[in-house]
Amino acid sequence: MGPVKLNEVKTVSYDRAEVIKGYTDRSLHINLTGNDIRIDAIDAAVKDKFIGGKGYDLWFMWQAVQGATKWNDPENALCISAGPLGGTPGYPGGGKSIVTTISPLTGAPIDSNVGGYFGPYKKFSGFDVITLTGKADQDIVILIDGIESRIKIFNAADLPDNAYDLSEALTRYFDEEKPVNISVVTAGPGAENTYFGCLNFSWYDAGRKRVRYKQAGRGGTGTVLADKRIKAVVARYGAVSMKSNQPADLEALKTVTKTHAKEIHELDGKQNRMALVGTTHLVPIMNDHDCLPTHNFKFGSHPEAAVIGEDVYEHIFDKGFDGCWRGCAVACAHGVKDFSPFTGPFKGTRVFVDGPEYETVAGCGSNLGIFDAHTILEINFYCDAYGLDTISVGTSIGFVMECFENGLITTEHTGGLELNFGNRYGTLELIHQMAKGEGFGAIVGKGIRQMKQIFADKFNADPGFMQDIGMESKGLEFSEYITKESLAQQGGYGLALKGPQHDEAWLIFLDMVHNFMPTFENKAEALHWFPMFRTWFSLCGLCKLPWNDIVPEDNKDTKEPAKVMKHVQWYADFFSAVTGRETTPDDLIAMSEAVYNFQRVFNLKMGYGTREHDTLPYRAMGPVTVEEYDSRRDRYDTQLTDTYGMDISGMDTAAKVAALRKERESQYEQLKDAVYDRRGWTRNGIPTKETVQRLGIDFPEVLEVLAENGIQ
Amino acid sequence: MTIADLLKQMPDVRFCSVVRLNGKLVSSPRFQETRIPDNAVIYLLPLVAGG
Ligand code: SF4
Repeated sequence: MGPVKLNEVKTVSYDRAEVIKGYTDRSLHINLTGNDIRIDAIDAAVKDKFIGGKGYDLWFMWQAVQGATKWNDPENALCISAGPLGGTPGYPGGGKSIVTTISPLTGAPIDSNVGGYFGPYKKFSGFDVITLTGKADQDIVILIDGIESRIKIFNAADLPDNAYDLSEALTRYFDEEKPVNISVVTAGPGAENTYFGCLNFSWYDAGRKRVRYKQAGRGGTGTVLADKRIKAVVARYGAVSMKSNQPADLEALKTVTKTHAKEIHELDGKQNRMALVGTTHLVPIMNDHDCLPTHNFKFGSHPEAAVIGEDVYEHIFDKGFDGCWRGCAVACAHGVKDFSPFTGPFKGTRVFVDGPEYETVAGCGSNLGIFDAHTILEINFYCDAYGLDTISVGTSIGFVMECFENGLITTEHTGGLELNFGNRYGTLELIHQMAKGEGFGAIVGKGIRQMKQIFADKFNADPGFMQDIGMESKGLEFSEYITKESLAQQGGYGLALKGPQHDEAWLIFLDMVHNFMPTFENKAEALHWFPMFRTWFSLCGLCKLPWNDIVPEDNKDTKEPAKVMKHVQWYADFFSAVTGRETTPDDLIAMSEAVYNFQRVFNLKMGYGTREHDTLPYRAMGPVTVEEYDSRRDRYDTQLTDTYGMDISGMDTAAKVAALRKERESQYEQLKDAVYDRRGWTRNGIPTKETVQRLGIDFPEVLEVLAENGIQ
Repeated sequence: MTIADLLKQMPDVRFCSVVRLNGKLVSSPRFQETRIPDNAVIYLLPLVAGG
């Protein structure tokens, strides 16, 4: 790595707005077409309704884009915010950034909640939210320097391509003496050459003396950054304390922070042990409950799953504090040091791998038939360094492998790669190709929705079969849970605003294992409350994990254990303490409901957001193939006879597959009706006028979009 | 005694679908077949929140 050379092309000095009660009340807008830099005050009405975080991102994006705007149009905005509670050291999960943009995969708003220090540093530098629009005509780096109160744009040539070296180089360049003052947002070459590029948000790990990063993975936010020719956005800020947000009630903030952190310290060791194993404890649990995606979501378990679970990673992870925010007691952001890749540009060198988390293990491991912890580490490393979303990579390659094994595509199409399940070299080769935009990898990097079209048009593959097995909805690849036996989680995926990501609702256990929501109304209620509460974390700049991955010992004795109401009350106290706005748990839901419905209308503005877009591939609902049915024959036979009262004695397996499909597809449609009713939407999935009025988002532009869609 | 036997004797374990037995995770489909050795340390994990 040579010395970093940056050529300053624009500098703007500014008066740094104080952070008061969690807000700066300022937004920063950088239009790269012309390097225009603007700082605006944020309207009190916007603050009241949109709260911050994802709410602010969506509001400013709405102002920037038209209904016809495509992801790669200059007016598409990439927005990053922190939220009023973000940047509270010591509060578990108290420092996330939220990114939104129009997604290359879905054409609609995508949002991602990510660790690292960028969001808080940017806020303490004076800005609740930044929007990046326009396109630079050469590669640039943006610096938001909260220590010197300057914003700078640099032309950048000859920087390292990969995010791993680039984050490190820029951290040292911008504050050699105190690298902990720097957080860098980068993408990578894979983000340039695919539609599912991710963003890496860094922090400096003072204990290990190295730069670490977490990913805003979903929906191609990195692809948009690369398309704007932004190599990096850097935030620089100094010491952060509990006073940095100037909370309304510092003592109350200290009390609730200490209480929540103490509970985690006491209970994590008895529960999921996330401080030791991160989220890899989910691998054996999902495997045992038949929910671990295996061979493109065909099956839910595999005898070799144990070798890619917590037992193995616990011993591989480097020991030490692993919070992706300062003082987070969960400290689940683990990594592996001195890993030596066996392929690609880093072959034979020693690198630090940030991860893997459950999603990467499942998506790039079991789902591809790869039961080798080290190969998964290598995939994880290259995806991050190249700026690729491991979930979309894993789910997309799983689809390719099943197409290959079924003869829909052959080595003629793959450039000679034998892409059977379990082919780890083939998988890594595809990832290297994606990064370069070359070979068959260039096609895979377009995501499943486009691959289905290309395979059908150019390779004559069966579109119906690909529709059934291609694990995407709304254009976004599924995250890594099998939902066949949980109708509620089918809704959790299919009805999620941005596409099938589990951060809106994760109901598999409540529904499938515990059977706590037997009726459509029960499921609809859950598909109202949980998405609303989970949305709230992204409004405020928080991580969701400390809410329900470690729960109070007496939680089971409470009225609604699934909601972990003791913690919900703590979050209300946290919000009150920082903002000074007296808040109850119900208020948290009301805050989210307004933003949630606004996002649904935003989807509508972009040409989506109706019932037809809430569809699922049949594999998310039930067995597509005879092989799949036969693998769980007893379960499905029993359902046909006992649940649906069918006489199956004369049926062959193909007939049973068809019969089950009819029932399950009909159930999913009934679920949609129930959820739309609960959310105050029409049967076409559009918020009614009464709903937007009740939520106070009946702005003229919202009503206009509704009217264009027949809602008067 | 198996894990399933133990849970039968305990009040209100509706949410228990996973336990940690001497440090190892055991999920509900294996409760029937998993014997608890003498002097075992067992934690009942609350509902697994996931994601
Ligand atoms: S719980 Fe884990 S992911 Fe969330 S902020 Fe803490 S360390 Fe980061």
